[in-house]
Amino acid sequence: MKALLRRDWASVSFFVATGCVAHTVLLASEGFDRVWVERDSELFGYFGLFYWIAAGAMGLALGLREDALQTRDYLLHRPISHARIFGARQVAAIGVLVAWALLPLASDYALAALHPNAPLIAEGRFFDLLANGAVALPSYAAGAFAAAFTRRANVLLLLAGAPYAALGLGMFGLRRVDPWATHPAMTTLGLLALAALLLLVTWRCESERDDADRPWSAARAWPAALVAVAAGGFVALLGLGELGSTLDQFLTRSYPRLVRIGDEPRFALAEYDADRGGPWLLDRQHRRGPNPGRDAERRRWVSIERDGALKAWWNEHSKPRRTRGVAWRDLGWGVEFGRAFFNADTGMVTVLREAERSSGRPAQVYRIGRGAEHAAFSARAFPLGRRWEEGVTVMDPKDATLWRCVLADSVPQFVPSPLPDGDRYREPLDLRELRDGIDGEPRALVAAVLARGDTPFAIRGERGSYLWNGTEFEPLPARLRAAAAELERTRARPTATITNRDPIVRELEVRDAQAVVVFEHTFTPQRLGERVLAAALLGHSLLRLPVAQVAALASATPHMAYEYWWRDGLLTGRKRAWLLVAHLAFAVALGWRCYRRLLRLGAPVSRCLGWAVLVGATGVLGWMLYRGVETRRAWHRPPVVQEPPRLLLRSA
Amino acid sequence: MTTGEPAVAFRDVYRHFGEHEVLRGLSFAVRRGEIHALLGRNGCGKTTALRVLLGFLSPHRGRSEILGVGSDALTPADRGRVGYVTEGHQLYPGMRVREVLSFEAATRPRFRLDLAERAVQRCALPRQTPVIKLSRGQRAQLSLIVAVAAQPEVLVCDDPAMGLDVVMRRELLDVMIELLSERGISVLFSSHILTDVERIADRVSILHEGRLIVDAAVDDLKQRVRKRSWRPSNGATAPPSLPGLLRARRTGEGYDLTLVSDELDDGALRQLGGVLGEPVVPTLEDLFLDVTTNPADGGILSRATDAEVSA
Repeated sequence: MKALLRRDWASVSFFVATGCVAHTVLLASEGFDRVWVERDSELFGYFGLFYWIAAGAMGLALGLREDALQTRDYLLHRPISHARIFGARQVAAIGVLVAWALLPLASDYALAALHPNAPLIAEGRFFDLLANGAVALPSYAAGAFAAAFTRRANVLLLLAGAPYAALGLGMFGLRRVDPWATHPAMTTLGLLALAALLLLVTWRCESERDDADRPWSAARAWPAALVAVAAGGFVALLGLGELGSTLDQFLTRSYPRLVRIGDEPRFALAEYDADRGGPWLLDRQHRRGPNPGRDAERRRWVSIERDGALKAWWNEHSKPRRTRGVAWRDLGWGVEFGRAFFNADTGMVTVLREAERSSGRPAQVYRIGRGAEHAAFSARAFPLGRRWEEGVTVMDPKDATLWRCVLADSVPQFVPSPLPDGDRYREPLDLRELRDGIDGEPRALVAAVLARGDTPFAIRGERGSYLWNGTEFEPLPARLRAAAAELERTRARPTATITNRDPIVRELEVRDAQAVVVFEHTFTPQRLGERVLAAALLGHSLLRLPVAQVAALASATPHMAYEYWWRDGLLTGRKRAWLLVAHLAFAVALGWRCYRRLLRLGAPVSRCLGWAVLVGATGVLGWMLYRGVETRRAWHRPPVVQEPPRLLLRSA
Repeated sequence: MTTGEPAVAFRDVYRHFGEHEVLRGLSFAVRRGEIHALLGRNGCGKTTALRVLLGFLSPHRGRSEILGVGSDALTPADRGRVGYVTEGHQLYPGMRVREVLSFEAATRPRFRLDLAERAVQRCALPRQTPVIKLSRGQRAQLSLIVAVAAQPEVLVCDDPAMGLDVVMRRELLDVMIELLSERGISVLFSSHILTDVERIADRVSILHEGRLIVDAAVDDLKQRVRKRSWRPSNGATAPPSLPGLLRARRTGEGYDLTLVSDELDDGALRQLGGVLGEPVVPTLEDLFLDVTTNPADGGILSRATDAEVSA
């Protein structure tokens, strides 16, 4: 083992040096605050990406090294078991991965300890960042698996890379890169278990010689196929989920809009097609009716889509990410800058005087709470405003009070910020929302206010709305009050709601303030474009895994195409059983074809049945895998021809 | 392995790559202590046969054995008894010569480091030079040294002199002879260089299109095979039909006949009539050309590769 490790010394050193330099550069580019103080899940994703790419590449490189150097026979023909050779490689690789995580972090941590703001270093951050390195293990193992699974350039290459892609998509596509926010130990253990599983299957693949003219042994084929199909299934479902989501969005956009004509309780389907002389009113079959004129009528239309339900419906595609823990704000004390870190766990705010840092002196660090007593904020307290733009103000819903950070004798302190006439805080008033949510003259007024350099900060109280003037809250100026009232009025409009959950057929109803239905319409594909998109949605469904489709149909709760990537919204809620039947018929046909072909090639019945079941359960994906593994060449047996011996000369 | 059991045995081995049948019923054996050359044109299946023997490829039919152990069941301990010089002299390119020796010493319990060091010195191989910077000949010598220093009972060499010029080949051969002398190692090696084979091999097997066509001791070949020219008197153009005739190659007005002398019937020869030349002992190269080429092909070079021509 030692000799094998010594042999790897040069490549190990190369990997260690390259990875450590890259990691160190990453740490340095992020800076002290982001690495050691802030609790930012994106940072972990950033480092996770590094581990994913670097470790995967190393797994692939080490797995293919003997082939690239053409030394596989030379290495294997010696009195050392394959297990020991494989084990030595894994030990070397794990050493590299540990070095990648440990060395740069330890050195950066040592430097951070000497930093003037060292007291700000979050407790346990070092181990959190170290644990983040666990991502590297399954990434490495996925790279090694890809190298061992197939050394031939065919369809198998796609599936060999599936675990690697699945890992990346799982971490970054599904934004699961902040595992320590919930159960860091469990996540780390899960990643280690995944790495162990992948390495086990890699070992199974490597312990068998790669021979294109022989079928894979069952001991190699089934574990590798199951891993590939599971990972490939995950990637495929995720990809098809995205495709379904895109098609769904296109279909949604291709359906007519619902508009209200002025303030009258009159609704209509319309299409804004300014390029072709629109807008147009449409009938219930989405056919174009009269063109009411470009300007006069258009001004009286109010798009219902902006009013809540439909807007929210579309925006579900991009749910906001939740963050917790430290938030930071520019204190905005004129030329003297500072930064504040609100810790939701402790209810305290850490303030850092930036001006002192920039002068080269150690920054003063303050941990402050409510008032002079520095009482902790309640667990529900949260900082107000937007990053970098407003001063530090904390709202504490416990007693509906606002606290503003000020400098009192050069010491930051939270002081209560009462509202005029004893009003109580209700919610922040987002002036951008005000600007975007209304039409006409009030909108222009808000835009003008927002265009000011100091970006005003407004809130809504129980009795009125208020604007921060730099020292206190004052009632909103009249023109903005009018705009806010307009927004309220807009919000009070009848709401349009999609009452069913189906990616193709949408049932829309509009209710007035008394909850009376004043308009309803069922959107179904009527025009060519809508039909094509609906057909594409149905077609994409056929590419999904049959087993997942069965589960989708069994689900009683309907949902949209994109809500759950693993379930097809076309089937959930026990809809379109015919689609599942068609899908299953297609999968069974594929499975049957696979069974017949394998039987013809001379495979044992158990193997034929195994593949037929796998293909039947996983459809196109399983079929691709089967065609990659069970090649005609592997099963080819030339006919035995009895030829006369051609020995011309033989001697004893 | 029991006494008398061959060191290496192929028993009716078949192997194909896709539609192409490379080995077709290969059967021969290498006795203990014997130096056995496996000859054949490019693509005739020599490397495939050796890789099957070492268990790196499995045969589609038949069985091969080395030291009495089936090739498909070689344990690491069995591999320790078999030396292997791979085609192209595989070594880790980044390792220095001394690192190659220590790597081999650490991974092969029977490896004689002193012997290897002496051989390296004898061949004047630069110990601090990485393998990638060695010449082809030096790499070939190093490969051979590490294979022999592991004290194998059987040494398998896949074209060890491939790509070497005459001087290097001769040096390699000298090293081989020196290392193998008085060690009693059984050697199976493939080669294109027939003069070398003639110098060191006890026995040759010639593979042609996946089939074994000659399996004989070198001395036996020299004693039994003769070449004679024949010019028919009656202007006949058809090749003669004789017992013991290996090949009849058309030459101008007559034929060059390759004959196995102990099967030759003098009476039959006399009945041919015409002018019969004096018997000549053919070189191994002549014999090889006779048995591996079809006169109708128009000559040996018609199907040979560049590598073969340069060799």
